[in-house]
Amino acid sequence: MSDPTPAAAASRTAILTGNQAAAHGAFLARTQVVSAYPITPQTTIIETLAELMARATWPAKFVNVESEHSAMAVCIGASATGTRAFTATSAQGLALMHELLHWAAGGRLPIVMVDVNRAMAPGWSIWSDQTDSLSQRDTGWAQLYCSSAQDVLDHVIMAFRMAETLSVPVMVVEDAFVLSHTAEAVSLPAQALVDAFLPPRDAPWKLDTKKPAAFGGLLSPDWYQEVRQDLHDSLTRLEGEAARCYAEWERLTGRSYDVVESWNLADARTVLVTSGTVSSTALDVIESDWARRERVGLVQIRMFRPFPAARLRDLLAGVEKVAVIDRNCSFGHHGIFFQELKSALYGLPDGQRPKAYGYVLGLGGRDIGVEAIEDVVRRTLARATPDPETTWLGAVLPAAPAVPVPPAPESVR
Amino acid sequence: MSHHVDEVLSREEILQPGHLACPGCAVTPAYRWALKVLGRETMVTAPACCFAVIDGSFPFSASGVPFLHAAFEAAPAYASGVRAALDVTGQQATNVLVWAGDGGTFDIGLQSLSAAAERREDMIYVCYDNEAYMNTGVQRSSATPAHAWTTTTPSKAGKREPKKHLGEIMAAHRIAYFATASVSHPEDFVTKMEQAKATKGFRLIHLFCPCPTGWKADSRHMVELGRLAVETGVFPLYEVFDGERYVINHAPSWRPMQEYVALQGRFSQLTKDDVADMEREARAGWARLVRHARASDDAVAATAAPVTT
Amino acid sequence: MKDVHGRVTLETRGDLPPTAISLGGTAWNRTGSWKFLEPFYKNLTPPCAHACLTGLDIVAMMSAVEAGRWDDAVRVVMDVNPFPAITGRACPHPCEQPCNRKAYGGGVSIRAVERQVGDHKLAADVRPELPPTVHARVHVVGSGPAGLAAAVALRRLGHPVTVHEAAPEAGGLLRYGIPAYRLPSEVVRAEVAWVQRLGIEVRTGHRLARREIDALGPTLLAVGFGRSRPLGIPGEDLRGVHDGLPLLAAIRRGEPVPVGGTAAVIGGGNTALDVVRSLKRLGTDATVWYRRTAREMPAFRQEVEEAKEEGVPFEFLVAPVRIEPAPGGRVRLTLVRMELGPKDASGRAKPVPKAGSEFAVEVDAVVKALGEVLDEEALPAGVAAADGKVVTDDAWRTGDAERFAAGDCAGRFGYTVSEAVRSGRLAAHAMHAQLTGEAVPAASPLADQGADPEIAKFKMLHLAHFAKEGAHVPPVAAADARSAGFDPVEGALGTDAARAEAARCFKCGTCVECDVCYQFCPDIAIQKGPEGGYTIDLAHCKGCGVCVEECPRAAIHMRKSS
Repeated sequence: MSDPTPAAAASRTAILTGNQAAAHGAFLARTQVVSAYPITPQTTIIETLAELMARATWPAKFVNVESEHSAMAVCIGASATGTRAFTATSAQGLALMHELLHWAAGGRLPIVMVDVNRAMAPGWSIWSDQTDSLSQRDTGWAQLYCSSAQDVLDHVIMAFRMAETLSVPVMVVEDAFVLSHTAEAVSLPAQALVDAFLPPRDAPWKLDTKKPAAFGGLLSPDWYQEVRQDLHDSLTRLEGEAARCYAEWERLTGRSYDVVESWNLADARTVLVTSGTVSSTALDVIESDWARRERVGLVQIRMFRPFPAARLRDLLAGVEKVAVIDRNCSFGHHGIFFQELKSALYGLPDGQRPKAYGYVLGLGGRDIGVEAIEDVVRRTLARATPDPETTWLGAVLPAAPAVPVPPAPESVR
Repeated sequence: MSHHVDEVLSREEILQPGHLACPGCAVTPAYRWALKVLGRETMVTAPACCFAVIDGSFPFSASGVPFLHAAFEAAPAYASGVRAALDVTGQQATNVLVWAGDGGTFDIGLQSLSAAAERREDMIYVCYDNEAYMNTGVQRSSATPAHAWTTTTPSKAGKREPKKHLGEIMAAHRIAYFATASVSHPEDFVTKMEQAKATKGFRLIHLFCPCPTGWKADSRHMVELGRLAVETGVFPLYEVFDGERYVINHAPSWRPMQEYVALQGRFSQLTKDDVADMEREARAGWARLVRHARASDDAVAATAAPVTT
Repeated sequence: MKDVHGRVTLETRGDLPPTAISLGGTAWNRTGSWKFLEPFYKNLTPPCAHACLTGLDIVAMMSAVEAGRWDDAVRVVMDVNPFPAITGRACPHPCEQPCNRKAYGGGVSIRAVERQVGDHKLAADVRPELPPTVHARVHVVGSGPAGLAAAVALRRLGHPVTVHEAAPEAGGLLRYGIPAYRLPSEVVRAEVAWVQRLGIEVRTGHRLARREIDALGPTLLAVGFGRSRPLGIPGEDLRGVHDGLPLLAAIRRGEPVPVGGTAAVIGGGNTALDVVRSLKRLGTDATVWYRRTAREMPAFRQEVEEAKEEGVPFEFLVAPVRIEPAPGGRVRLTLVRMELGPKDASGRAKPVPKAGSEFAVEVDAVVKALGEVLDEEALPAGVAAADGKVVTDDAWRTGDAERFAAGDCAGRFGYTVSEAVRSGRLAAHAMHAQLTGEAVPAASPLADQGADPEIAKFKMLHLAHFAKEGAHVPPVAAADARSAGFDPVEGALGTDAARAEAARCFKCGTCVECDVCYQFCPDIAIQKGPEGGYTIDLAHCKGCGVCVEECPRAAIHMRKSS
């Protein structure tokens, strides 16, 4: 950690939940237009932000809309007109926005959104689950998975810069309740520091009566693919841009981040791969004596899109086993971090490629505690080869007793 | 026409020729007139609708002003975002114009329209109503009148349900200004666009927009169809201020409904009873409108009269 | 990235923006290729102008009046007729008959509007631009409508002109024929004074002898019909039998008229009507005796209607047989009843006497009002006459290279004031061409504009663009009041009503730049021309036909695309 700058010294500490931290991040970033629709557990983001925006010293507007789809629509309109726009949502709301997530990315609009990971209905669930945000992985949004309130605040600010540099929208993701509603000490950087890091938006193109143009008209098959390829290329470059942002942020605040964090990898034979707040619990597990004896390491994936495949290959080359914890599932296949990681590891040469074990647990907000993670590690250590099927863990109810198969009736024999 | 309206309509062209409208389309003269009233300091948002195609494909745009294509159901919300951005960047004087078909207004867009109206968003919304989803090939919308043929109401009876009443919906929202208009009455339309321009808050103009292609009519009858709709009482011309004060601009001359119906293939299967039904509907709609107008006259009188205890 | 048509093109991937943001407009897109029909402007002939006896561009006059551009209205009329104050009172207005506005609130009071224009000309002394008089002096014999119209035309062509008039005042029939209740003397005098202010010399009070006419040099004879048509019956030269036109002249001169208490007026034309209505005003009970039926009377319809309102009795299918003296200085007129037989050369059924139906009336006077004929004896030598008219060739010459004829005496058109005016103008242009070798075509406004001869019919108009307002008609004095004197029967519309009438005029078949086509075109393909009018951008016009359908007055049409 380098010495904090004088500006950093002007920061103050506050006890903030993840949601409050998100709101402060958006406010410090001098967001100009916010539009959001309430949904548990996002509500305190927009409530806090509404209060903060009322005190904004710059022209800003909070648009209360009637649905999340419209919230994203307002952000698109505002961003297309050259302003800095922000929203937040969760689960059903994010799913309702889906059409427009494509629109924001295809429109190359640097909107920042916080998604509070929440399980998808039915039945109704307000608790932490990653399926909502991961269902949006193909839309062209960057996705950053945070694990602390400080992480959230810092990343909301940095997200604007990454977004505006590359003209892609960025989603900052936090777990429901365990992060969104859990308070911790958060260092609030001074406005001057944030201003130094994040200048006012200078949109390379926007709706402008001095340069009239149409945005989003019919796009021929002759050109559509290349236009989308440009999005892909820019999104891919976001990993490098993140690294630059992190370096500067560290210089300004003393806090360092990486697109992929790792612990105890030096001589690890088995590596646990997590995302979000599960990572801090997992860190406790691998720091235990038995895990150290078993040479278990930990990788936390912060940046999911663009997927840091090369980085993960570097970190995991030569490791015997990787065990991925997914608090989500792409039904009919596997947990999504698991799938994506396997796809990345495929690029390793034979002999370097770890065996990959995937586990789905914690869906619908079921707690992923130390025991559950230990169970994941033990199962991984115990099996020589991964189960080709998805492994579902943590059921509270025991399995139903096996039902004896009745003998076939006379007529069938 | 008044000298003033002639002058407005002679202003510089903002909409360009070479656009992709069908021959005889009523939207384009209306858009041309609207831009002449509003001027170049205007930003337009349009959902999926005929105009989204008429404006031209990438890399061309006929509009001449900044034009934001919007997802089908969200044009008022996109426009609200544009409005917010303009307001926070010192461009409060720039007009925000939503230019939407009946599909994006009456049906899929009704929710975001209601919200923008309820928020009193400072914008002008023009719904050009050609009474079906024309852009996708003439499927019925809730703006399609009863008895009309569409591809999704192809039976002899045509669409069964009557046309949804946008005016009453907007009046219920108490928006600052609502008006009906028809491409056949340019002076009335220009006057209303000017009224809209001078009013703050949410303003909606429901513009009757004959579609020769979708109505299976001769393109040369585009204007006459609008005129007949007004004169048969199918589409009366009126304004509503703040959801309360109704002003009727024109009393229909009650031309026989058959004259209107006869010009349109979408009504070719109508029986005499159907036509009589349309006439009854028109009369009933007019009677309701007159009641509103009288009630608002009474209300004005009531508020003007001293309160006696 | 922009090609020759202004179309943005994408050359390399570097030209692609990162999202679908337009790079140019659509004007390069020649949507005109979609059409198979295209519009074109072509004025048609309005029915009023088609019927007009002077060839006036009535629509142009109406447009100017509507806009309150009275001087311009005067100039439009003066192109073909220098005397709208006269024709606006005396013309039988055939223009009003086919007026398309009749079916939509009432026909336009065209003559009354023209009168208003004419009165303005006199009040504001609006004169045409006059070139210097560089050509040979021309003489006009006769100062009736043909002579005066010819004089004005000749002056406008650069000739100094002298008009010769035998009577004490100029005007011919205008002054000494048409009754004052139709055409007041002050109006005629005002028009003559106006003519003189153009530098035209008017010499009155001297009847030129033949040798004097011979000595004049280039001459236009506009002497009219100076002789009354005889009855051809015994006793027509008796005392108490008068010729109609000289009687009218005497009344117009304000002289006492020895007619007495009762009179029989023989004839059915304008002279007869003028005589009978004038006599009534002088207190004489006069009856019209006409040998055919009311339908065949050649008099102007309006004259007949007004006469009936004034209580003038008409007797039809009666012909005079003989006149004899009767006691007390009266005369006895014997008449025979007629019945209609087969059609004669004029296309009318020939009346034949009913045997044994003779009867007689005793009256103080009989007035012969069968019309006038050419006074051949008064013609100069070398001027031939045939069929009761001076013989003229296509160039209005009488056979003598420098002598021309116009008006009633040349008989090329009908015998109305308006046609005399037209005749005078055309003859003047022919004369100028002959004398100077320089052909200046007489204005023919509709043809000059290239208007199509097709008449713009009512069903071609688009009525939605016109409010159905009722006509403004000029005030007409009540019948009993008016026949007490010679005050004008018909009053003026007034400027406001005239403008309102002009506004009601449809302007059939004529583009008046109302902008309807320009405003409605969905493809912005009709633009205003740099000097007025419109241009059609066929590169973008999709041939929808809205412009043609909506044109209020049938001035734009469709044809197959070229």
